[in-house]
Amino acid sequence: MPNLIDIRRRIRSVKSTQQITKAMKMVAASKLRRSQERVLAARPYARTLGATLASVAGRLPARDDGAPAHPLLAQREEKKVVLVVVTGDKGLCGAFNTNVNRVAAGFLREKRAAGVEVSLVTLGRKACDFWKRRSIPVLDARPGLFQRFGYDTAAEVARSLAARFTGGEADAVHVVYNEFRSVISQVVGQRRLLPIELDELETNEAGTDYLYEPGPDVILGRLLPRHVEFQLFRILLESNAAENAARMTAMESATKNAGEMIDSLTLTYNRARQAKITKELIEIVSGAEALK
Amino acid sequence: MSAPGRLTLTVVTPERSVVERVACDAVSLPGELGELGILPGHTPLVSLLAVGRVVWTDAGRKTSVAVRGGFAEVADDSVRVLADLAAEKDAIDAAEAREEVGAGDARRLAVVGQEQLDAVNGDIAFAEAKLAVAQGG
Repeated sequence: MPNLIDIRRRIRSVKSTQQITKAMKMVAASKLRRSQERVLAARPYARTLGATLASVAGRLPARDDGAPAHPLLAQREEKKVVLVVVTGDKGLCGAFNTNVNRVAAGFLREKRAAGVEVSLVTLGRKACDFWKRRSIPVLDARPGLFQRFGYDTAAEVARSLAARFTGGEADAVHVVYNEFRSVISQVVGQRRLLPIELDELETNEAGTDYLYEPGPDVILGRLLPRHVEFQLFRILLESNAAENAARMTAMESATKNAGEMIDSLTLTYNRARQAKITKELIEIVSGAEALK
Repeated sequence: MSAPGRLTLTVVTPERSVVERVACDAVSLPGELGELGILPGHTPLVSLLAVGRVVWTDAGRKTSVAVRGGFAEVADDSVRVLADLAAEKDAIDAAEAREEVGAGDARRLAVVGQEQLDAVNGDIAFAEAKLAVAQGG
C-alpha cells in the first residue's frame, strides 16, 4: 500500500510546479501582447516602404550591359551561402527552438550535398549554444539579442550581412525563423534575404509618375539597404511574438498536465486513506469479537 | 482620399506611428536637397530626407515633429514620411536635447574620420531639431 505521507508530499510538489507554470504562462501572455503590438506597429512602415520601392524599381532604366541596378540585386551562382538562424534566448517553449535548429540542419545537409559552402549567423542564445561546437563556421553569434532589441539592432546585423554580400564573401543570405501564424500555431519559415528579389515586392498599383529628388538611382541605393534592414527587423519581431506564443501554449499545457496529475494523485491518496480506515475498523471489530 | 484642398500627413518609423493621418493645409519637409513645401495638389514626389523638422499647418496653427533619416512620399494629397527616428513634442525631454546640443562641439573635436563626423553631425542636428520642436510648434 502506498504511503500516505509520501503521496501527500508529491501532491504538494506538483502543486507548486503548477503554480510556477501558471505564472510563466501569464508572463508569456503579457509579453505576447506587447510583441504583437510591435508587429502591428511595423505594418504601416512596411506597406509604404514596399510600395515606394516597387514603384522606384519599376522606373529604373535598364542597363545596356545587363548589370543589376544595385549591388544588392546581383544574382550570382550560390557557392558560398550565409544562413541566419533565429531562435529565442530561453527554453521552456515547446519545440520552438529545436524546430528551427532542425530545419537549419536540414538546409545545411542539402547545401553541402550540392557542394555549397555554408556559414552561419546565429541570433538568440539557443541557436548560439546549439551551433557553437559544430563543424560549421559561425560568423556572428548574438546570444541575448532578444533581451532588448530595436530597429538599430536589426539594422546593424543586416548591414554586416549586406557588406558580406556585396564584398563577395557570400552569394546569398538565407534566414530560418519561426513565423507567427497565430497564438497556437508557429511555423518554421525559410526565406532568402539577399539578393533582393524585386518581383516579390507588391507592384505599384496605377504606376504613379513620381518626381524623384534626388534621382531614382540614388533613392534606390538608399531604399534597398533599408529594405534589407527592415526585413530582418520584421523577422525578429515575428520570431519574438512566435516565441512568446509558443511559451504560452507550452506553459498552459504544462499547467493542465500538472492538474491532471494532481487529480490522479488525490484519487490514489483518498483510496489509500480509505483502505487504511477500513483496515483499522476490521482490526477493532475483530479485536472486540475476540473478547466476547 | 482626403477632402478636397486638404493634405493627409502620416509619419511612421519602423517601431511605431508618430503621426497618424492628420489633416492639414500645408506640410514642410526637410528634403535632402533643401526644404520642401507641400501644398494640396502637389505632383507625386519621392524625396530623401535630411535631419530636421516636419512642420504642418492646420488652420494657421503649426505643429512639428523631429525626424532623422528616411524618405517621404507625396501622392494623391497624402504625405507619408518614413523616418528612421522620429520624436514628437511629448516624447522629447527638452533639457536633455539642450544638453546634447551643448555637448556637440566637444564631440565634434573628438571625432576621427568623415564617417564618424557625419554620424556626430547627424546626432547634433537631430538634437537641435528636437529642441526646436520642444520649444513650441
